[in-house]
Amino acid sequence: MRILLVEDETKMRDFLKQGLEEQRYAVDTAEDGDDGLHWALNFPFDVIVLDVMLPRKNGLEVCRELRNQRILTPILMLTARDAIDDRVAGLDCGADDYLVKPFAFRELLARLRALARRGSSQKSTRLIVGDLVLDTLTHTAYRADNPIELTAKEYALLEFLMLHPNQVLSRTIIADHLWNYDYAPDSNVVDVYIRFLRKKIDDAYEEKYIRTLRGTGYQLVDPHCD
Amino acid sequence: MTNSLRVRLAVWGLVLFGSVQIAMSGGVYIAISAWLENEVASNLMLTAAQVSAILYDPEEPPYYLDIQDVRLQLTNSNIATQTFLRDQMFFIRLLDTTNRRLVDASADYAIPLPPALVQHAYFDTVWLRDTGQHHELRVYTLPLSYTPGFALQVGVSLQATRGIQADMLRILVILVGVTVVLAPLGGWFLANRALIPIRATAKTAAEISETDLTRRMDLKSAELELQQLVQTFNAMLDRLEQAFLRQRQFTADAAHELRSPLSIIQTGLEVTLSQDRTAPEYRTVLVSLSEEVQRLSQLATTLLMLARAEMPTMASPWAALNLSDLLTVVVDQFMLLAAEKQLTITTDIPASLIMDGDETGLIQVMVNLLDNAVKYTPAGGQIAVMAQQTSSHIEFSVKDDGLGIPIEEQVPIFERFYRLDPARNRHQGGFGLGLAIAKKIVESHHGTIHVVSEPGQGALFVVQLPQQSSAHA
Repeated sequence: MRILLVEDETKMRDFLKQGLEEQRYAVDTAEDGDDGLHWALNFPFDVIVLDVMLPRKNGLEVCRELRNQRILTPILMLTARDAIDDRVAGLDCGADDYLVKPFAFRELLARLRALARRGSSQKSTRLIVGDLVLDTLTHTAYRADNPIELTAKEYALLEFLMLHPNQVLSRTIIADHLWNYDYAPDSNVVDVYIRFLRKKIDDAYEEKYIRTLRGTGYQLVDPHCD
Repeated sequence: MTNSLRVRLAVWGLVLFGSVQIAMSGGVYIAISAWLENEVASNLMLTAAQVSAILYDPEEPPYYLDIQDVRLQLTNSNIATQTFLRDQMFFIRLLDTTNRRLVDASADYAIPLPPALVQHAYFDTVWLRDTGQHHELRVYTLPLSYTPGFALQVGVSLQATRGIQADMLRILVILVGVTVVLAPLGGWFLANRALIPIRATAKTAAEISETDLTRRMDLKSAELELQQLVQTFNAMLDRLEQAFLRQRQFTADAAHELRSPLSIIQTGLEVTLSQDRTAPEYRTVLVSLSEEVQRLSQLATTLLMLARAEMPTMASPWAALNLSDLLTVVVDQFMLLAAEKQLTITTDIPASLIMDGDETGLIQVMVNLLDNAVKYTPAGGQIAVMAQQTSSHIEFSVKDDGLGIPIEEQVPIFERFYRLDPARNRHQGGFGLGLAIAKKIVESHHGTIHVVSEPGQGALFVVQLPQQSSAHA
């Protein structure tokens, strides 16, 4: 899951980035409205966390512009203003959710998980495909009720695949959603992580969840449904 | 209760109508009584004159009075007397020179005889008790002009007259009583009627304050006398709405200022506590968060300062002070800071500008102006601090050659939480309260503060303070 964090307050931005990365999100940051808009228009994000009071272009304008440009990425607005009018303005400009500062970090995480599920068929904190289960709260995977320990990147990769079951996902798309700009890897790295993940969830079983479509990418499919 | 308009109008009604009624009744009673007495007296005089004429005989003195004959003759002669004689208890007698009764037409009445020889006609009042009843008689004694020593006495009972008077008095007392009961009721009623539009106005007023301050009362539908009240009320609502909006804006701004450091602290703590960290990591976070705590307490101090500036009663007491000395000391304070930024501060301050004022407040004004000048003047710039005495004012000014202030910003920069450049990071700028505080303090001295500036030409902040302290007292 890749998140764009647009926040002008340096300390706030740093704390949030650290906290989100520790929760296995890939995080890119921007410190003003123009910068944020540029990132959002040019890179694929799963969620955008957008502060309202921004220099140059405020959060409401950024949000409106993104929607005008058909960028439908879920947007979570952060603001220190909690008047009803402010909240209405935030939601009306196209934001999906609204959080008033100061907020509990756990609440931010919960709302981010909810927003990430929005475009997916998954509607609970446990992502389920066949007998494969991923608990997004504990970051633990289960196959046929056997717990599977995952590293941060393995977790992020499995989460991304399970949020988009049956979809063919190219290496580039996977890379774009798993790493931020600073660490954007060569697409071969994606193959390495796919191999790590297969070792943990598929190798011990007859039926395989992760399929390779040569020259195209990867696909997570429930083998029992074929 | 005594504050009630209705009660007061009722009391006024009672006093006014009651006293008018009592005065009128008294007047009527006295006038009618006098008229009645007068009527009795003139009837007695007329009867006596007629009897005297009947008795006149040039041949011999009237030793005898035939009462039947007199009655007959009186009856024939005068209709007024006739009624008088018939209706009243009446007596008539002839007295001789020794005051003996010669003829007495009313033996029933034991009327005392005059003590001496009757020389002049006179009236008197006689009380008779012998019949078991009290009888008040009006008696007229008339010496006979044609026979010296002889006198005629005519008397009539006043019972009927007194009866009329008593009846009249009863009626008047009842009338006064009715007035005393009705006047306050009338006053109450009138007051109620008069208060209906006032009450309607008050109701509208109450509704407005409860619902929303944007509503106004309808001036056209108000009674002429109430229009002024409605106008005053609407004007008050205008001011109230303005103040309310300003207050709401201020509260929102203050909340925003408080929330920024608070959210950094909360997020910082939560993110840091979510995992075990090394000691240096904890240290870094704690140092960073303690800066935010400092900022919060600074904000609290600044807000308190603003509250003090806005409430003159909270300011320190006024005293005579030397503005030149204050300004010089404050400028000295800033010299080091200015040197660090490679700014030069020049001064032109005449000695001994003496005025009355709040010393701490005025120092705060100077500090805020110089602080801004130092903050917003680029390195190598110049700051000029000047003071002068004009005919009515003491004036001091701080001039910088920084970026200047666009004309449309020159009024709002004195608003609370107004920042020239919203993008300016809050760690560079202050809270946007310095000029607002300065303005409040200057206004509490009945002075003015304004800025003269053109973009790129620097800014000149001018404070004018009246020298006289009379305005404060």
